[in-house]
Amino acid sequence: MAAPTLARQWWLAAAVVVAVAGAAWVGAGVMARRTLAAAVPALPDLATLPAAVQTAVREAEAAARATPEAATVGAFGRACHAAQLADCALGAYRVAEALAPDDTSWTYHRALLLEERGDDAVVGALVRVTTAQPAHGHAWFRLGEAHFKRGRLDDAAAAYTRAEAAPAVAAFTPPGVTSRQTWPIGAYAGIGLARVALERGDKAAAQVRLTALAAAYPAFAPARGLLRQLDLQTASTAGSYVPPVDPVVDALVATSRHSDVLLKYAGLATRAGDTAWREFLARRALEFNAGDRNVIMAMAELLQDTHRPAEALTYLERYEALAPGDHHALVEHGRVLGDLDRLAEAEAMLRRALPMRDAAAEYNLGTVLDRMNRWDEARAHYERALALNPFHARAMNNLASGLNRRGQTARAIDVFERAIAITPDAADVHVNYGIALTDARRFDQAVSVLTTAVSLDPRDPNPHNNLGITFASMGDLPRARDAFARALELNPRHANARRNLDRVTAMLQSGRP
Amino acid sequence: MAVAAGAAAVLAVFLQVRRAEQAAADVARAVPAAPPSVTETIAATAPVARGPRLDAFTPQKVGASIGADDRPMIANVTTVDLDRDGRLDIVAADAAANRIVWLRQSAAGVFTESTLAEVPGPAHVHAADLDADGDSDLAIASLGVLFPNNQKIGAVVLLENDGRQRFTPHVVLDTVARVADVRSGDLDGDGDLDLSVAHFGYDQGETRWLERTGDWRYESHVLQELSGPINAEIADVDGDRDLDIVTLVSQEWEEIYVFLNDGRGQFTPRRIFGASNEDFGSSWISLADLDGDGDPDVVYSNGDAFDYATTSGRSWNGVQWLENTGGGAFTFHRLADVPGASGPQAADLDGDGDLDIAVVSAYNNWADPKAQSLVVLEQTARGVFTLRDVANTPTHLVTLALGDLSGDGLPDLVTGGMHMSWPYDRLSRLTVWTNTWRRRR
Repeated sequence: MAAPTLARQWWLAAAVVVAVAGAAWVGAGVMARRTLAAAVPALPDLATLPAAVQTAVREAEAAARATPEAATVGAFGRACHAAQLADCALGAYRVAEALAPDDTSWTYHRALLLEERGDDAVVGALVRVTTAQPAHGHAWFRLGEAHFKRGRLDDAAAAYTRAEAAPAVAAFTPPGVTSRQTWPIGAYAGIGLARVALERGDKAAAQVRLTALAAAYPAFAPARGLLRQLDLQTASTAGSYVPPVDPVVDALVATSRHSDVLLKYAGLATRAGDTAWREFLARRALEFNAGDRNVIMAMAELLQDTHRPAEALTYLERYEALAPGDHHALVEHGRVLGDLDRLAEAEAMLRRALPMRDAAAEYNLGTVLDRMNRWDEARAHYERALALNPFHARAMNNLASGLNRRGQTARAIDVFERAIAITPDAADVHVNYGIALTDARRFDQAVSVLTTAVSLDPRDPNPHNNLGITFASMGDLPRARDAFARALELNPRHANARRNLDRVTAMLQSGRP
Repeated sequence: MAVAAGAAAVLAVFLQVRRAEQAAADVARAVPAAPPSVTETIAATAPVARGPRLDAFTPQKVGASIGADDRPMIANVTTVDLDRDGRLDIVAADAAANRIVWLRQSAAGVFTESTLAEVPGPAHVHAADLDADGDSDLAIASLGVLFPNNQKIGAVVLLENDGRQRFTPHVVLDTVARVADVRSGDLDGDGDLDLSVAHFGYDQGETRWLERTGDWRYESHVLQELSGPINAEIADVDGDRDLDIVTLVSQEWEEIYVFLNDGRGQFTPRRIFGASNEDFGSSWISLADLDGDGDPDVVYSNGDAFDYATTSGRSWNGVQWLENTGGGAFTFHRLADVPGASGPQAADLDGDGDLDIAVVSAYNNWADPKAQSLVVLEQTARGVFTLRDVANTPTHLVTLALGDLSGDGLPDLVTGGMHMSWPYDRLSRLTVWTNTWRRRR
């Protein structure tokens, strides 16, 4: 009988142990959750943030405290991140990482913040991400950057190489944004590898890599920019640097309600020609910051850049009410009124901007007066713009055009030549210069200049139309006909090209020159 | 003849064609040796220590008055006893007027402004006895135009002082990318003063040094072809008894380099910091022995926001200390978050024997009355700094210089305003901030 008793006692003891262990397990879980809930960072002072931003952060914080799981705490981190509350975001990401050690998405988010602040800890965070996600091209690229900036060229090259080989990922596209203008992360990794080569003194290798990138992606400003730095003639113009687009960052930005965050990325989208994304961001900024003058100005500029001056005007009027006398706004306001043919109002607005002694105000006033056929006044303002900024190529262009229209062709040609030296890639300046050369009967030069204009902007019908005029002036009617026909192909509603083509065709048919 | 006449007729008919339209205006919106390990350390971000408000500086606007429609644009300010009368004067680069101006301190606290030279787009002024004749000459960095421009419109202009404050300009370098900074030092060890030059440019820029080869003659040596250099400081950073060059390169690079000198003007570049945030906003570096260990450290601000429509500061704007750990190696320390931080300068502001840092802010949320245009980082223990708010008025301060203008033994401050964005309700050109900190203690 002893054996069964012993067995029962053993089972009883085991049951007690299991029960205690279970209770301890549950208790530890509760304690751990309480500890983690307590570890969720406290809300920082939100007082200076817009109400909509405060609401988003508070709601995310409440959800994280109620259910302290990786997803909710990480979401709280994202809310802080999107509100530019970096310490809060870093703290929340750390807790999310502790809750889900195998999920490195929160580590990547933390790395984004560390990178933003120039913190050395970014390297370790990115090593963790790339170890767990070896195909994460953006993480490899960022790791390459972090190593490069810290002088570890071999590590940087290795990371850039992994980024270059990583599979392409689709750009983030929120509802309403049908297309994005982006370049693959591999292209940026190529820039990184070129910089490594340069740092190692291998300029030739850098040149080969950059030239290949510029050929593969003709509008990729970073490659053209670095080529230009190397003073290589293969890149006559660079455009502004555009950082890589990261779907994780864009998804975060798309949830932001903070005008600084949204407008920063709208600004980058402007540089990249990423117009639909720019408008998404600007409109989101407006939704949550309707009274923010920076947002209002961003909307005005967006509408102006996308040829919606009437809408732009309403935003400029709102801006003027918020920041009366702001110089930049006065100039923009004047420009828009000019675009709307409200020339007298444009003149009055631009005159208010003159005390700043800014070339832009003088130039814009010149254009308005020019359009009002007040040439002498317009000319004076163009010349004042050039006195303030001797390299104002637009003022040169308009001054020279006006001089040529008034028969001062030789002087106009001199000014055009200065303008083209400053902006060798401006197609419209080439067209105007070509017109002046045609007027001066320097036909061969005119054809050369207008052909350059065609190559600079192949989709613009005007260089073709003016090339046709030059050919016609030379008596070369067949080539004139071809040029006018090409202009009409590009714009079937180009009235002058149509009229010119009809006349040249009639001349050719009649045998009359 | 028939052909020619016909062609002329066609030309006349076609004169009705569209001339290329006048395009829209281009309105100005215008390393140290790294630790070998990359093991991740999840260090807590230290909260920025904030001390009580500091009421230790008394502001006094000096120089020409501001007209109703004026928007002051002081790009840089420095202090120097130009007339050797024992009182520090102020020299400033007035980018609105394209002038170098001298505010002579004729009696204690009495400043009289005059123009020393007309210079297009003056960005920086550096005082030194460039010709070794016993008086202070001036080295001017000329951008050509203030706003972004890729043309070769920069210049280095030296203003030779004849000892009676009559200045003769010598353009020693021109037709180059826009110049943002010029400093002097004997870089090749031949006993005269050479120059370091930061060519900001725009898409194209570079860093070079100018070797003095004779009276106001220099030979140019390019050190690096990267756009965006803002500063080119000179000091012996590696303790080998020759002068090195420390540069801050902004634009998309956001890097700090040391060009280590072999003593004969041969330089080896070393990156001592780089941010992979292309929007880090590098704005200024200055050199000072912050930790008192006998070598120069780098005080570094990031707060530039010139690129974007919004002109308020960024969350990552602030002040850093690159601690010189010897041999040309530096360790990065974040000291404080300061929106729009610019122009940091270190001096013992409170007279307690260690160096503090004064910082101005150019880009900030000026609608918020808490936004500070002048702050001080008080060193409370070795390498430990406490942020002290000093002033929110005037706004848009971009440049800061130190000097004992009042002659009381304490460094005073001089600031310059760069009012390129709204609001325009708290304008300043030049402001002297008299230091009364020690007296208040």
